[in-house]
Formats: sequence, C-alpha cells, structure tokens
Amino acid sequence: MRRATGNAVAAVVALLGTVVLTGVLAGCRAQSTAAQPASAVTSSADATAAAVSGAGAPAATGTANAGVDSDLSSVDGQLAGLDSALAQATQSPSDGG
Amino acid sequence: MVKTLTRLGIATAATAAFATGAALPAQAQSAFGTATSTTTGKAAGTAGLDAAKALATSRIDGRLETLHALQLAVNDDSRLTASDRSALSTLISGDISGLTSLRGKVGGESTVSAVRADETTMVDQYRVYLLVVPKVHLTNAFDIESAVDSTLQKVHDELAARLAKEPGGGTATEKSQLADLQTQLQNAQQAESGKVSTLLAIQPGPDANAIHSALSPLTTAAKNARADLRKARDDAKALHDELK
Repeated sequence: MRRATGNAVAAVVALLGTVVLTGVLAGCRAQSTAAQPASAVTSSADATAAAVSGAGAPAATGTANAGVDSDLSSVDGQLAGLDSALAQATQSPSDGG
Repeated sequence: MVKTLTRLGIATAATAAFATGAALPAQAQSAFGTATSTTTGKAAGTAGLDAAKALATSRIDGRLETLHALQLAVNDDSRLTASDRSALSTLISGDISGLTSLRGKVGGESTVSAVRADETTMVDQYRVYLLVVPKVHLTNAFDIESAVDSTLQKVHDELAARLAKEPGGGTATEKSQLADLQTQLQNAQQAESGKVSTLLAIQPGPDANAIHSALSPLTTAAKNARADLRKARDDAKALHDELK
C-alpha cells in the first residue's frame, strides 16, 4: 500500500515537472521572438529562403540584374510620359492666348 | 496620368477649335448687326450686344473648361512634387474664380465696347492658353525628369558597384559607358536646375511675345534634359547588357 502510494506521488511529480518545464521553454521562446527586431526576423526568413534556393553570389547578381531591369523599364515609362508632357506644353496657343 | 493629360490636350484643342469656329459666325453676326443698325435702330444694336456677349461668354467658357481639365490633371498626377502641385492648384483655382466673376460681368454689360474690354481682360490677365497650359505641362515635364534622374542615378550606382568587381574594374568601353552615364545625368540636372521656379514666376500680361520669349528657353531646357536622359538610359542599357 505504501509502495503504491509512493509510485502514484512520483508519477504526479514527474507530470508536474514536465508541464512546468514545457511552460518555461515556451515562455523563453516567445520572449526571444518578441525581443528580436523586425529586420532580424526578415533576415532570418531571407536567410532561410536563400538556403533553400541554394543562393549565394549568383543569386545576389540575379537580384541586382532584376533590379536594374526593373529600374530601366520604369525609366522607359517615365520617358514616354515626358514625351507626352512636352508635346502638350509646346502645342500652339489659340483664341488669342 | 499620361492618358489624363492626353485627354486634356484633346479637350484643349477641341475647345480652341470651338472658340475659333464660334468667332467666325459671331463676327459675321456682329458685322450684320452694324449694317442693319443704321436702318432698324435700337433692336439691331441690342442684337449686336447680345452677339458680343455670347461670343465673349463662349471664349470664357472655353478657358474655364481647360482650367477644370488642368485642375483634374494636377490633382491626379503623382509625379508632381507636393510644392509644385500646390502652386499649380492655387494658380488654377484663382483663374477659375477670376474668370467666373468676369463671365458674370460680361452678362451685365450694356455696351459692346465694355464687352470687348472684358475680352481683353480675359486674355491679358489670365493667358490660359499661352501661359497656364504650358506652365502645367512643363512643370510636369521637369518633375518627371527629376524622377528619371533619381532612378538613373540608382542604376548608375548599382552598375558602378558591379563593374568594380570585374577584373581591372571592367573594360575600357565599360568604364567609358559608366562615365558617360554620369556625365549625361549631370548635364540633365544642370538643364533642369531652377527651371520650375522660373516657370511658375512668369506672369500673364498684354505682351504675348514677352511671355513666349520667357517660355521658350525653359522649353528648350526641358528638351535638352530629355535628350541627356535618353543618352544616359542608352549608356545604362548597354553597360547592363555587357555585365549580364
């Protein structure tokens, strides 16, 4: 009888210990994430993405190429708008000005 | 925005065509009224005044339509700087207010000569077609050029960083392209510098030639800057293709 009671108490203590340890670990993880700056979170995600895609210097160059391509495409659009603005600015005035 | 301003151009042209077309029958009507006034007296004189008022009112309405279209374009244009948008909005709102008042004044005139004087005011004190329209479009052009400067400078810096990593800092041709890109950008910035404030400071008045002379170098500067930016864009594209 005494031995059975001892086993039961040991099981309860072990269960409580597990619950407490799980709670402490979860709390620590939450605190760690909250304390991390947004940029660090992004960097971490980027690092993970880079690792998954096998990125390194070639991927960085590819990104830079895409950035320049996008900027040059944007410039082409702006220059088209510029042509339109200049054409309208230089049309002949009418009706006495 | 390009569509909005293109529509504005069409509206302006249509308004001008309407005003020009309206002027011919009105002038004919005016001449007819003058001829008959000697025989039919007061009735013909009233008809001449009414015709003069109708013509003046239609000319004012054409200007108001143009100003309303410009107002929409200015409000809608994301490429205008905040200060330029504010300056143009103030100018346009003031002109709309003034011309609306003048329209009411024309309606109350009792002589043809008073109506003619109002028409002179309508042209000389506002210069909607000769000055306000170019002000809006040239300001827009200079602000677009400023945005292109920024984008191409960013491209230049990116290409310079990549060229620096090439053996020997790149070939002679590549270095020349990068240098020319920067030179063209500087030329464009120099052509644009201070032009918007000069443009917005031009005032309407009776001397159309003086207004034209004030606008002309600014238009030339905007066109020169565009040519510089096109060369800079070509340099950037060529260098970018070589580094790919």
